[in-house]
Amino acid sequence: MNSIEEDLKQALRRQEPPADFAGKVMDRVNSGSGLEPEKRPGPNKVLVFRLKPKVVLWLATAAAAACVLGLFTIRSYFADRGSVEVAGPVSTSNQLPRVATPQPSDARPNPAPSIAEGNEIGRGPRRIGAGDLRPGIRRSSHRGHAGTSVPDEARRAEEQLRLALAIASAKLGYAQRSIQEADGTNSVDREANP
Amino acid sequence: MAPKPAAAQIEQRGEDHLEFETAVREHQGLVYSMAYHFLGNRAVAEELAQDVFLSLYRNFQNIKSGSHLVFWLRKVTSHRCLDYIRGQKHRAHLSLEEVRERPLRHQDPDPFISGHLRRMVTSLPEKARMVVVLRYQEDLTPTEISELLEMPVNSVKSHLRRSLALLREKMSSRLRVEPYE
Repeated sequence: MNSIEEDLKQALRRQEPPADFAGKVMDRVNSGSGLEPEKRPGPNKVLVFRLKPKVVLWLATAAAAACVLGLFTIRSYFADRGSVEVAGPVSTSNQLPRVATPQPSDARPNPAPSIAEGNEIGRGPRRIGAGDLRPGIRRSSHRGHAGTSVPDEARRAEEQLRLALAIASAKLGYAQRSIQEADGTNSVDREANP
Repeated sequence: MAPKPAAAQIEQRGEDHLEFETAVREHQGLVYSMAYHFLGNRAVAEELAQDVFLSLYRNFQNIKSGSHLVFWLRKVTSHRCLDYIRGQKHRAHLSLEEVRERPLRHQDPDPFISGHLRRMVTSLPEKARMVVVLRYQEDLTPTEISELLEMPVNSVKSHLRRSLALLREKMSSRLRVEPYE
């Protein structure tokens, strides 16, 4: 044992309390003061309510169900709102706008349907508002700008989208045709030089 | 002639009373010293020691032997001390590192090492302080302390090691002497 431990033992040696300590204790015992059962902090009623397992389980289930229901309601609300906004103009005109782009020849059937057809005619007008639009267009269809009504904005967005799809379709057809022509050239070359 | 039941009860109560008073006189030093060394305040220590003995009076029937009584007193006193410290929310906490160091030579009114050590012990963190008190006042082994405070033996040992290192360092710098052994 080293020095500090010896010193600690010396410093912390037992000390007797004041002379009348035992008398004070016995006085308190005889008078009964402090002898009542020790009060432990009583359970809070609200806390008890909250800590009952069954109640907690039911509350948690109800909260989870409310969250799911709320999310579903919000989602269906926005989906319906988007379809209503877009449904009007689409239902009146199912024709794609004419765009002055090179079209595939009539003799050669287009093997791949255009993106516009695939997206628009196949799925219907509802998809425009749901998730296929660019973020900017989707936002504008939901919120609208100051001074313009939401249906107008949606119609403009739809027109822009149709135009973009038509251009993309035309470019795709052109590329496809070029590839086919190149294949034909190659086949002639192959025949010439086997 | 057999005593009446009420008289027997009174007689029994009187015997218990006497036994309890004997126990108080025998162990008052243990309880009071633990509280005083832990709290560093005589008045609070006396009050707390009285509460411990009143608690003993309430549970006196459950005490089985002398060793059980000593174990019970140590355990209740240590827990009450810790509860008292934790209950003092507004008490300004002074850690050992924050103890102001003053040169000993001329200004210090208390030149005794025991007094310094006692003060430094009271500034240790509460659990470490109780471990030190039980180790050096009651001369308990780390295993006994771990049973009493319901903590792992290794925690007790690490509390002891760190406390001794801190106290040694503080004493060395305070006394401005050779490093404390």
